[in-house]
Parts: sequence; structure tokens; C-alpha cells
Amino acid sequence: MDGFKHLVDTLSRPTILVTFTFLIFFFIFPPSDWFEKWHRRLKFDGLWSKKSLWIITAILVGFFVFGLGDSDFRSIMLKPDNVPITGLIFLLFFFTWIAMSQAYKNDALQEAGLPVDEQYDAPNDKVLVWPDLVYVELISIVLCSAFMLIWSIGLPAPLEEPANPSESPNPAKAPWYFLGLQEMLVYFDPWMAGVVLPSLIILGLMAIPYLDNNSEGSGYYSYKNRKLSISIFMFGWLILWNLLIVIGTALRGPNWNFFGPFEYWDSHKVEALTNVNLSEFIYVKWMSTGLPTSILFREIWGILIVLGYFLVLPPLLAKTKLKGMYERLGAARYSLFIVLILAALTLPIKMYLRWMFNLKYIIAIPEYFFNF
Amino acid sequence: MINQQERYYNILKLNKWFAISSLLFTFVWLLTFANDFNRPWKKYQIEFRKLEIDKTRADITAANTELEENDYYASLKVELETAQNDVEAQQSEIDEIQAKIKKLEAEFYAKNQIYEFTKADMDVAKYNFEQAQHGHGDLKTAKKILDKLTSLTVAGKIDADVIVGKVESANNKLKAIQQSLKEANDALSTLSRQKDLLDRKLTKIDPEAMSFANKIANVVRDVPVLDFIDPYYDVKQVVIKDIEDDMIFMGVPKVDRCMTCHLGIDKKGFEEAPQPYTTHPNLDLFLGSDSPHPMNEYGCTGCHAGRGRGTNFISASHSPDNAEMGERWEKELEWHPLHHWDTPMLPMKYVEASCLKCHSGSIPVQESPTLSLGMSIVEKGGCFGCHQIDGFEDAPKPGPGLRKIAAKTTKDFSYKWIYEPRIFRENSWMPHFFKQVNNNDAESIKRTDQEIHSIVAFLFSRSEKYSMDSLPSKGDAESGRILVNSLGCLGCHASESEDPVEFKSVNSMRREHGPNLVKLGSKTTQQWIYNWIRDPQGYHTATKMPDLRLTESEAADISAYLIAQRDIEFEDQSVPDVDETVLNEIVSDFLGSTLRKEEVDARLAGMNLDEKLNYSGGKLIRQYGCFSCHDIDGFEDAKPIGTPLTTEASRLISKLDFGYFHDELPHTKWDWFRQKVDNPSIFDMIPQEDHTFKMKVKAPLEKLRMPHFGLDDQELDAITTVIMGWVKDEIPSTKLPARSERNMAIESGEKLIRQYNCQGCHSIDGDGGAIQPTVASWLREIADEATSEDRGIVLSFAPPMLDTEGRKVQPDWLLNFFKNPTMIRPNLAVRMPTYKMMSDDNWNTIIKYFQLKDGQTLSYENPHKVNKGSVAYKAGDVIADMGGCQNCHFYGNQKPRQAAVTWGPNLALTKERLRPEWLIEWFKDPQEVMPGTKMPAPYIPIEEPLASVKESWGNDVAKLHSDPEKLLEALRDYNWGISGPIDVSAIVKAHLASEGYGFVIEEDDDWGDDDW
Repeated sequence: MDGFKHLVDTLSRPTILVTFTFLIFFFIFPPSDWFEKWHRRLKFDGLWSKKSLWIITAILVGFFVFGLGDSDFRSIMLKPDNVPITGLIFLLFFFTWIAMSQAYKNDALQEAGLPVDEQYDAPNDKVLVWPDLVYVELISIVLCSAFMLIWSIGLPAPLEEPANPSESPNPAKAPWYFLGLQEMLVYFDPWMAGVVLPSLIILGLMAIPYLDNNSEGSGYYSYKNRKLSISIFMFGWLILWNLLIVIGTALRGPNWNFFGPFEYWDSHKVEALTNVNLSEFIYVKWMSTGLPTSILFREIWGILIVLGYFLVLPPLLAKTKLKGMYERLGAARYSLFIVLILAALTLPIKMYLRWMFNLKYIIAIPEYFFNF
Repeated sequence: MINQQERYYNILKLNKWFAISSLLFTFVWLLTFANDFNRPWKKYQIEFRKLEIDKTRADITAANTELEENDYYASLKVELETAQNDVEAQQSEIDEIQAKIKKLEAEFYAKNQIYEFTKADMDVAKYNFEQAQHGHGDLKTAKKILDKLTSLTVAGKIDADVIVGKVESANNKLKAIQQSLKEANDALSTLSRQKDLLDRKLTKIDPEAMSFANKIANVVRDVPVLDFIDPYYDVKQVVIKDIEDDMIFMGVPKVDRCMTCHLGIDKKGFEEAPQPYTTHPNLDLFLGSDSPHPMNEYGCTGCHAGRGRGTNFISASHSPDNAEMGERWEKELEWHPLHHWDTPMLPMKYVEASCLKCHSGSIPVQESPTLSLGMSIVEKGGCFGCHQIDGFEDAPKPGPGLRKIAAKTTKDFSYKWIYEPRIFRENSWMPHFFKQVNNNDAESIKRTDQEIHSIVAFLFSRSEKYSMDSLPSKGDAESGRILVNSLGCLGCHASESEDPVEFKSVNSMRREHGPNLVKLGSKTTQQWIYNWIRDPQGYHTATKMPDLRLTESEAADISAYLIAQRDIEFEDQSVPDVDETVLNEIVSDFLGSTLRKEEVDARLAGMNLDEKLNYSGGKLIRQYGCFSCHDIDGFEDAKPIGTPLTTEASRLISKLDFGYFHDELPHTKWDWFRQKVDNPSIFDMIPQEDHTFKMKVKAPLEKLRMPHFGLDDQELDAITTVIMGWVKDEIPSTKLPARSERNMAIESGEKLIRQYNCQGCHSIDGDGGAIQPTVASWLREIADEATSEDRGIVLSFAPPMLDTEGRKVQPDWLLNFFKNPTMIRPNLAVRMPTYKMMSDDNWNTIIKYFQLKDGQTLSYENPHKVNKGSVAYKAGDVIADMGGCQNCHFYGNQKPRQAAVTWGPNLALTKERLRPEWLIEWFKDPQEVMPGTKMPAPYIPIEEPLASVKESWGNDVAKLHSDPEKLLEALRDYNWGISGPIDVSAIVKAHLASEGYGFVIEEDDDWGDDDW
């Protein structure tokens, strides 16, 4: 048992957990034909069968039941604020499964030259508001109310001590839906993680209808017709948002240190703080000179890298790897799309730079509160 | 009919779903009400209601029995019956009168209405008439109407009054008939009032005693949902507006709901009931409406802490007294600590901590023995030396001054003493810094060996010259022993042969005011002791040791006695050699904290051995805080080294470092404090499975420094209580003891009295007199067992009780006495010392304390004058003579008639010493003023017939015979007139030398009996 717990703790280390999900993700949600080939070869398409639904649900339930036997796991997961996150894990899987299995079903129907399910359900693309919609909503309201009442009786609100500025909770956590953002604060300057990136998320979501000029697969579930779009969206949604929420809830302990799900949250655990900026890498470590006094001179390398990333990389890709996409989207759409994607990718990139090289900031100008 | 074809969903299926979800919701909705209705406290209220019904019934039965056994009650009952019979016999007459009254009242109603209406008309006419006079309307008509109506009104009034008179006389007649009945009834109900109240109470709580309608109401008021209107079972609370709970950003008035379950807490009669119904054990002091802390004004959690708003066992944050209780609670009540509440309820053994919140000015706090003991420990142990604690700013350092240490003892002794003081003197207050759990390994001991060398070297190198007188003689140890046992030394010091105190108290601590006087031969020289006791301030200016005015030979005898005892084993212990390598490390550690390595090496190379010892010695004294308790040259302005403790118990528990003892120690502040004081360095350790410890990774200078005081469980409880009382709660002035002139003066007096340990010898208001048991043992030695067990004799040889001192003596006499103590009770061996170090300011504070405490507000008073020719004076002479005052009291240099054991003060002192009012109080009842005194109340012939008084007491007494006050005043005036030499010490000395105390006491002697 302890061996298994230790294994889970080890696998939960962010480097392993995140790397593993990154690696496996595109084989589960293949963005291209090549990935799809492997997706089928690795039998990942079986994930969206009914059998898988039961098996995976059973595994998840089994894991939680087993975990609750452990006092550390129990104290984290049964904290009244964390119970919804457990629910979130189940719901997330369930709804992804529903969408994906429906999409695969439709893909198969289309391949066989048959109309998709949604067409069959409502051939005129029309459903009566009364009674079909309203009645179902009423029933849902009643059931939800009953559920909320039971929940509030069974799991009373977690009252803690009066708020005290000289005694903030450790770890001090954001509300669960912001834990992904809070996780970003580890890797980015607050204004990046707190202002720029969230704004980009909203902007990106708003831009999707304009960027996506693919008319196929509209109005019904399908995967085949929009592999890349779904894969990218799912990456952002499942990995960059929800996975970070789960990590923030279950794996971030006192002093925002990482703890495995079966580890004791020791507030005295010490981690060495040895992060350095890019300029220190270049001038101190490699060139063995002091940091230049001029800010521009000091940060020029970081600035060049960032500029290169956002200004040089897009045209380069448009000419080579993403030539087809560039032609399909046109210059304006392509630029917007690629900048959003690159911005989203800065998160995993910075995570790895931090984990592997203890790199703090690529550009660090604390004098003007600008860090990147 | 809707066309099913157009439907997306199957309507019948949806209907079923709707039905199921509605049923589910209804069920959940009912569950919500049930959950709301089912409160944990209700079962306690139901249970208590039963208890209360049973108790009320029992009380009623008891009251009934009492009434039945009361003859007067029985006779009243008979009377009542007779009266009833009488009344019944006249029933027809009564009926007649009542009918008549009814008729008259109807008549009155009509007549009176006519009168009232006419009067209303008359008021209108009056107004019209006034208007007419003002020129509006016809004056003549108006006048006519007014006159007419006025006469009608008067006539109407007379008519009505006639009937009133008739009704009255009819009523009187009725009353007369029923008079005896009413009297009997009144008398009966006066007797049965208590029982009637109980009956009424029962009808309110006991459904069986209720009327039918109330029975129904009793059920309906507690029906779920309806119970919001006026339920019987409800949350009970007190709101205390001016005591606030600290919610960090704001204060919230305290709301205590403890009495929701603790229903009997303020009701007498539930003392034996089980918890939570038990009556508070001290209703006179707490909760009772007449007590100083009524429940409505102070609540519960102000003292007990805990969460006052909690209405179940867990949410109220109860705390168990010990681990076993906690386990029992967990099993029986599913208890667990309320993790998120910062001020959990204090366990009962620490509850006195809360007294300190408001009563910190007045130590010892009455009725708080544990807290008061703890405060004594804080003073004795010198906690305030290292830790800044408000209220101890001017407290003297508890350890001896070390400026002249070379004259007192040797380096060798100092070394061994510092290493482990309690090896030499087991109950020493000097704590252990070394051989503690965090410095007991071989490596640390090697370092310790050298550290102490450095400290000793520093102290001795700075030691000032102390010139000592040489001994006049070798001294006689045996007579020294008697002197130590009789002079009063034992009020502050314990001596060799005493058993350790089993139950410590504030009073037992008083005898630890000075060090216990053992093994001095191994510590110092006879010459030093001789010089020290002759003039303590000559050696250490700040010492509290007073001057006993010892003669040269007395001092020599005492020093010979004290020096005789030695500890050879201790003396034979060897001191390790100085090891310069280790010493270098120590010096480098200190130098390295500010210098670079090369600078350290250079400095070290330039130092010789003495310089190294001195340098590190000074640094170590600062490191360990030796200067906190001892006066050491060069550390006059050193700052305290410990954490401030003034509001220690208000620190959040998360700020207390449990280190690796999180699982070993209950997670409470008090357990942490107790552990910290019990074994301070333990938090440097990591506990192992086999109950040993491993050390955390710490450099020598990083280790915890607080020393080990070797306290026992009782002392640890006491000091934990004090620490738990150091909170930052804001107490409104309305709740604090009044800051009146009297209270402030008493507080400052108490402080001095505590500092100078006056109560080591004197008992004040029932507290103190720690020396008394040693007086008894001295008496056992010089007289016999019986004498030593006679409390009267022990008290008469003990330092005086100071109970009414403020009313008793004249303030200027008292000041003179303090400055230059003289003989009062001639047979007393105990000596009032001279406190040369006390200023006039100090003495005034003490005199003021006595005066205000005893209700004496005047500083200056008219001297009492006596006319020797007056009747009173002559009568007093007779009373004194008949009373045999001269048996025990000196009259000037005239010796008392009886043996020295019974001697009282020289009466020639009275005039300048005592206050006349007090003397009367004293004569009336000496036992009241000074419990245990041997002075009898003087006999005055108030119960004898005048003739016999005249015959045997003379005319003067007879003239005052009717008024006992006058007779006592006469005796007082006579005392005022007694003159003669005041200082009789020479006579006393000669008498004691030749005849001794004369302890043989006659059999028929009943001293102390008031009506002697």
C-alpha cells in the first residue's frame, strides 16, 4: 500500500505529471492525421466507448475510495471547499466523454453516408419551448434545489477563525475557479499572470468565432472535421485551465510547495530558492562578469528572445510548417491566431524553463516593474 | 390535446420525472425543517425541565411538611375555620348588604353621570362668560347661564356624594363581618408565601400541574415551525455590550449562550446535579445577582474563555483538564478541539488566569491561590528579568549582586555552582543553564566546561574591593542557632533541617524570599557572613535584606552557626582545566558574528589567555542573560534577552513553535507554555520512537537559551495559569476594579509589602505570618510541646498581626517606629528589622496602605485629651484595677505581676501609639480585632445591679454604669493617663536573664476566654 502511495506521490510531482499529460494529450486528442494514426494504433479511440466510461469511472471511484483511507489524502480532499473539485474531476471526464463519444458516433455515421444524430433528433432544427424546454428546466431546477439542500445539510459551511491580516492562512488559496490563474503566478510576474494572460484568454475566447472559418461540423458533435480546433481548445481547457486547478487544489500545500496527495502538509518543509534571471545566466554564469549597469544592455538578450518569439516565429512558421493554415486563414486571421497560440504556449514553456533551469524571468526590469 | 409527434420528449416520462423530483424535493424540504428543529441543546433543556419539576415538587413537599409541623400555622388554620363558620352564619346579612351595594352603585352611576355632564356644560358656560367679558357676546345672559349651571353642578356633586357615603358604610359593615376571616387569611398566606411561589412556578413548568388550555399551549409552542413564536425550549443568552470579542477588524459585544445547556448554573439547589446542570460552585463571588460579577454583566466566557455563541459541546470550544478527560469526552461526546477558535475554554486548573485580566494590580488576588502562587514564582524566578512584562518595570533583580563576589566566595565554588546550582542547594531559584537536553552531549559539555571558566573569570576579574571588619570572637554556634530560630530570620529564609514544603502556596513562598541557609561553610567564610548580616547594604546596595541591629557578639554567634554546615562531597568535586583550544572556538564564535575570518584570527592571535577568558565571559553573560537576575558590572543598561510576555497568551497558537513536538504535545497554548517552562530547551530536539531525543542542526550560539528551573507539577500549573492570564483583552473601565484613591494606594502598598516580604512575619487580614510554624518549633525547644501547640502563646511570640493597623496606631508614631523600631511586646524575641534602604516615600505608601485599607482617611487628627480629675478617669482607674491590667502590662517601668510569658505592651506607650477610637473597638472584642490574641475583653459590670456596683466598684463607675460604651471610654482615658518610661528593655532583659519566660501555666487559667 505504502509503495503505491509513494508511486502516486512521485507521479504527482509537477514535472512528471505535466510532462506525462503533455506527451499523452495529443495522442488522445489528435490535432493532425499523423497523431490520429497513432491515436488509433494506441487504441485511444476506445476511450470514448461505453465500456471505457464505466471502467474509467470505476478506476476514479476506486482511487478516491482507496485514498480516503489515508489521513493526509482525506484531510485535503474532504475539506468542504475541496469537495467540489472532486466532483469537478468526475464531471469533467463525464462531459468530455459524452461529447467525444457523440462526436465519434457522428463521424462514423457521416463516413457511412448517414445523417448525424442531431439531424435525426430534430430534423427541422426546432424544439418547442413549452413544454419540452421549460418542463425539463423545471425538473432540473427542482432536482438541483434538492441536491443543494442535501449538500448544505450534510456538509456545513466551513467556518474558520476571524480574518486576521497578521495571520493569513497557509497556503492562502484563491477560490477554486481561479486556482489555475494562481498557479500561473508561480511562473509569471503578477501583472502578466493576473492581468495580461487572463485578458488574452477572454480575448481569445471572443475571437474564436472569427478565427474559425471552418463550416464543417457546425451544429452537431464531430471530431474528424475539426481536429486541430478541438485539440487546441481541449489543450487550453483541460490542461492549462483544469489541470492547474486540480494541481492548485490537491497538490499545492503550505508555502505553495508541492505535496503528493498522500503526503503530510508540513508547513516547515524547506525548498531552496535559487531562481535566477536570464541576464544572470548570461553575464554571471557564462561570461563570468558582473551584470551591466545599463538596463537595456543587461536585458537585451531577453528582449531579443521575446521579440523573436512573437515577431520572427510567426512569419517563419507561415512560410514553413503552417503554410497551409496561413493560406486558409489569410494574413489577419493567421496573425491573431498565432499570437494567441504563442501567448498560451508561454505558460508551459516557462514552466519547463523554471523546472529545468531555475529560470526566473527572461526579461527582468524590476526598476520599472516589468518582468517577463 | 397536444400532438405527441411534435414533442421532442415523451410527456408521460417527463411527468413521472416531475413527480419523482417533486417528491424528493418535498422530502428534502421536510428534512431541512427537521434539521433545523433538531438542536443538540434541546435534549439538555428537556432533561433539566424534568430535574426542575422534580426539585420544585420536592421543595413543595418540604414546604408543606414544614408548614404542617408549624404549630402557629395549625392554629391559624383553626382560626380560619372558625372565622369561616362565623361568616357563613351571617350569610343572609352579607347577601343583603351586597345586594344593597349593587343597587347603590347603579344609582351612583346615574347620579354621577348627571353631575359629570352638568359640569361639562358649566365649563362651556364658564368659557362663554369669559369670552363675553372680553367683549364677545352678551355678558348678562352668559352670567345667568353660568350661575345656573354652577349651582346645578354643586347640587349634582352633593347628590352623588351622598350615595358614595352610603356605599362606604355598607362596605364597612361587610368588612367588619369578614374582618377576622381576612386577618386569618393574610397571616396564612404570609407563612405559605414561599410555598405559593413554588406552586406557581410548578404550574409554569410542569404539564401535570397546568390547566387544560395551558397543557395544549405547552405542546403547541414547541411544535416545529410554530416554535419561532414563543417556544419553551430556546437558546438562552446574555449580551454584554461593553465586553467585546476581538474580531480583528472590529469588536463585537460578547454574547454568551452557555446557559442554554448549563441551565442550573445560577440557580441554587443544583449543586449535586450532573453536568451540564450543576450550580456554579461559587455563586457568592460569580454569577449571583448580589455577587461582584453578576451573570448579566460579566457573562461566562470573559473568565472561562471558549466560544460563547456555541450551542453545542464542540462549538462552545470546551477544553478537557487532562488527556484522560479528553479521551473520555471523545468517546462519550464525540468531542474534538475546535480547531479554528483562537481562545478555547480554559481547563479548570488554569481558569484563575482570567482573574489577572482585571486584578493584575492587586497581587495576591483573593480566592485565586494558583494564580497568586504563580505570580510569586514569576517574582522569585525572575521571569521579568529576561522577559519584558508590564507591571514589573521596577521590580528588583531577584539574584544577589555579583560586584564584590571575590570577597564572598571562591572561583572554585562559583564554577561548580553555575554548572548545577541545585546539586548544592536543591530548591535554589538559580536555574540550570547547562547539562540540559540540548547541551548534554560530549561535544557540548566540553564547551560548557570552558564557558563557565570564562564567566567565572569575568566576574572575579571585575570584583570590587570589599573591606570587612574582623571577627570580634569565634562566636558560639549553639547560641547562634537559637538566635537564627528566634530573631525572625526564618520569616524569609528556610534553615537546615526543615522538610520540604509539600503543598506550595503564596505563604510558603514567603519563606523562600531569601536563600535557604544551608551548607554556607562550603560557600563562604565566617567573616563574610559576619559582615553581611551586620550591614547587608554595605556588600550589595540593592539587597532587600534588612538590618536586625545585631550586636557584635550576636553576629559572631550567628556566623559561627551558619558557617558550621558544609557539603564535603560538593567541595571535593574537581573543576576541569582550562582548555585553550575550546576557548578559542568560543571566542571565535563571538568574534565571528561581526568580523571576517581573517580579522577573527588576527584578534585571537593578539589575545592572551586572560583576555580570551574575559572577552568570552562578558559575551556569555550577555548570551545567557546572567545580568537579568544579578547586578553585574558593565551590564547596567543591558536589554532583556527574552521575548516580551505582557500579552503572551493572546499570541496566536500558530506563532508558538511546536517544532517536532506536534504529535507529542496537545495543540494548546497552555500545554506549550507548560512544556516550555518545564523543559525549555526541548524544542531544540527531535523526539525518537524510544523516547530519546536527537538534536536539531544548530550551532552553539543558535541554541535555545532559556534555563531549567526544576519546577514541580503544582508550580508548573501555577506559572502556566499566570502566562495564560497575560492577554491583551481590552477591559472597559466599568468592569475593572475602581481606580479610586483607596484602591491605588492599597495596590502600591501591597507591592512594597510583597517586595519586602512583610508577610513573611506579619499576618495581614488572614494572609501571611509564614514565620509562625518556626516560632512554634522554637517554643518547643525553649519550653515544651504543649506550649508550642498553644496557638495563643505561639501568636504572642510571633510578629504581630496587622489586621486593623491603620485604625490602630497613630501614623506619626508608626513612621517613627519604622525608622527606629522599639520594644512593644516586652517578651518578644522576634525583632522588627530596620529597613535602611526604604525611603520616607516608601514608608508613607505603607502607612497610607494601612490607613485606607482600614477605612482611615485622615492623616492628621486632634490629639486625645484626658482630664485626670473627671469621673470617667477615676472610673477607668477602678476598672483597670479590677481587671488586673497590671498582671500582664508594664505601667512605665513598673513590671507586670505575672510571668514574662503573658506580658503585654507597656501601657505608657498607649498615649503616643494608639488611636483612641481603636482602643474602644479593641476593648469590646479583642478576638474580633486579633483572632487568637491572649488579651481578654476587660470586664465591666453592666449586668450587675446598681447597688452592688456602687458597693464594690464605687460611685464613679456606678455613675457610668448604664452605658457600657462610657465605661470602656473611661478605661481608655485611664490608659491615656498612664505615664512613665517607655523603654523598658533593660528591665525586660534583666528579668528574662534571671527568671526566664515562666512557661508553666496554671491549670485554672482560662486566658483568651472573653467573659473572664
